[in-house]
Amino acid sequence: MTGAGIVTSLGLGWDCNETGFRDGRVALREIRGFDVARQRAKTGGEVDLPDARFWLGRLELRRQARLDRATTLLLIAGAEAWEQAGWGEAERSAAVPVILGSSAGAMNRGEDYYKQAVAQPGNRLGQATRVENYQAHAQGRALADLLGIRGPVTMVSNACSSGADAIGLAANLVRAGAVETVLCGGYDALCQLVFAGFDSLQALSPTQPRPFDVSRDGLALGEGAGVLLLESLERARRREAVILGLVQGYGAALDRHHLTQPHPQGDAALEAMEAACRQAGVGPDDIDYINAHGTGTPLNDAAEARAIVRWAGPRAAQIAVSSTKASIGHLLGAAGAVEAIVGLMSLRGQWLPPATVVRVPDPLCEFDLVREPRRARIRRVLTNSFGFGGANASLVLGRFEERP
Amino acid sequence: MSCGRICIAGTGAVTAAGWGVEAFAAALRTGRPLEPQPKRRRGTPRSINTLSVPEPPGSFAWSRHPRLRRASPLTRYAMAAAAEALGPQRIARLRESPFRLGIIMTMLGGGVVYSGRFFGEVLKDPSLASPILFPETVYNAHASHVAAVLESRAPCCTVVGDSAQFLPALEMGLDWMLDGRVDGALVVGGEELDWLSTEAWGLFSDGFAAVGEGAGAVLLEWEASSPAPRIEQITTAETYGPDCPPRLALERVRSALETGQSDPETLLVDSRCGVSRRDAIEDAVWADWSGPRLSPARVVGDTLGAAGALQAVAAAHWIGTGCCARAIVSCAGQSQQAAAAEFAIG
Repeated sequence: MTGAGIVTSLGLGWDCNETGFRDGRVALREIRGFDVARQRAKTGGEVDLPDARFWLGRLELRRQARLDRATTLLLIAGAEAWEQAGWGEAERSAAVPVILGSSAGAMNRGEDYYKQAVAQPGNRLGQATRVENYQAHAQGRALADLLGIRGPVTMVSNACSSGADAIGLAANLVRAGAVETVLCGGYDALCQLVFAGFDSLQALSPTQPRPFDVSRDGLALGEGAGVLLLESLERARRREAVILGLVQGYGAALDRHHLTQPHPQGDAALEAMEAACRQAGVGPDDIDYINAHGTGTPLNDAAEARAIVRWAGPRAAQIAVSSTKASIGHLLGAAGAVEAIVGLMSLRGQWLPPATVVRVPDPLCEFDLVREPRRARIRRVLTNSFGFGGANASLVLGRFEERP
Repeated sequence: MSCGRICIAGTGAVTAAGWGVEAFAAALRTGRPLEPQPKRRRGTPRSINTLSVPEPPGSFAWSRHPRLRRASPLTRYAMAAAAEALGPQRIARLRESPFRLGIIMTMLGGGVVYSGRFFGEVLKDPSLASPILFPETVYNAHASHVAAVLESRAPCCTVVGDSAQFLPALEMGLDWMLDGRVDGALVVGGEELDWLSTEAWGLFSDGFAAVGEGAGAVLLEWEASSPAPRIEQITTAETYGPDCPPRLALERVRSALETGQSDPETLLVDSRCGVSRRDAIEDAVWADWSGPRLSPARVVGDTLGAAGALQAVAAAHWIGTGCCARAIVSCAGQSQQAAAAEFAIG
């Protein structure tokens, strides 16, 4: 990983997110983007988008004016990652693949299309543009066009594991030698349909998300984007790039227990963690921190806690675990990518991101649940992302240490 | 990429022509577009030609699975195509053996029927919106249902894209097999219609063509003793952009084909659908083609995210039934990319 860009409700960019996650700051508020008056839950991790669109240089003015919220989040993160990696004309002239994950894409545009189609069936004004921008690949294309790269655009939509899957698939392409460089990540914006959907399932917390707390009562939705630029180690060394960290393993497994509920024992979660570690050539002794999926719902956290304990065995007590969804909410298709970048921050800064809102850990948590900011020696991070439809993905990220 | 000894071990299709590859192929053999049904919602300015999937001829063995009680039409199309591609014996074997079947599904609009219904409920009163509908609106719900019915726990991935996305998805399936992650890969492209997607499509058509729905499935396995169609090549998809309009993108993928020259033994399966702006791209790029040619979307309608899958199914079927020895699938997608592939036997 030679470039990383991140946008969450903690702010835009690496620096403010690093500070926020390190301190365990909570950035949730009552939703302002749409009406939540009749919803059971009312808060989420909403991003304050800047008025000045300084990152939009290469996009035509016409397209700038039509950007939806999800694409805007993606472009901000993508521009930061590009700048950090120091990529330029060499990458623009090559066909750099773009692999992105999203659960809802530009659903805001779909909602606008629907509302106009119902309210004014004969009014086609603006509808074609809404349809164009709603399509998931339009967001991927916008990022490619902003950065001036041309390569295949792949939009993965495996619900809440989409971002992690996108990174894993991208890393596998580099590992297989199919490409030297790839841009990957995930993004999602808050929207009325999805908010109401999670609320209808009573999955949203009417209080505050408290992942792994014994009295947890649901999740908060958030929005944001995480973009990573991956390149082969040889290429990164050749161009003397700053290597932020390594994607060492990716594992995916399907939980077919239920469309929206995990297997109570976390079977597929366990399988994903094992597969990621197998590819990385590591075991529980080599993992120092797990950025858990940890949504804060009773069933998800219980299944994941069981899976972690099954996977780690006696080593569980020594492994630090936290869910940064306590700070920013659940970013759905962006979650896996943003949480991979949080893992990267931990590896680089050698600190553990706490979930400061947890008061009484669930007794199932036989691991070291991080509730206060602290420093630690971290060689490798495991991130978990589990989604609707039983999509389970895990990534192993490693600290890069150049051997003499 | 070159794909070694991986073969197309089965195909499945659901289209306006009926449930099954045979019905689809029979419609293609006539060369005539199916009779579309014009649909017009009250208050809208014009009707749009649609080719909907007919009611199934009977019930399927899988249709009683609890996961499918509330499943959308798209899930049923995908499941039917998947079951046909696998065949009953293979499905039974899957459940009894450790065979790892990877599943990749592509679509453009996804579960629009439930999405539209659910959002309608949200706008009326979000506190009464149905928790049963919402999970079915998620893009990967369909692949998840298919995997659950087939009892697969191997990797399962949903990729959203235009009609050309099916070919990169096939390549993903090949990659999974080549790196040992799965023993076989089932790649499904599907789409369902409702007024939302029909009217959206109508914004980009010129009144004569028809929008369709359905699914196509291709099963990839390591080659067995009996000869079966193989994927000789899948080109890298060329993404449309300011410097790469669709025609240039399709020209690039044609030139990337190792054998893209006109040949009476080679079948060209293109993406012409009756929309003149889009057909002009295929016509221009393949202007010198004098060999046999099929345009499935002209017969069963532009099935959006399923269209590339149905092209691949047609190509494999024509090869598998001895109608040709080689086929090129040329796909200029609706809004994202162009891609091409070459299938052969022997």
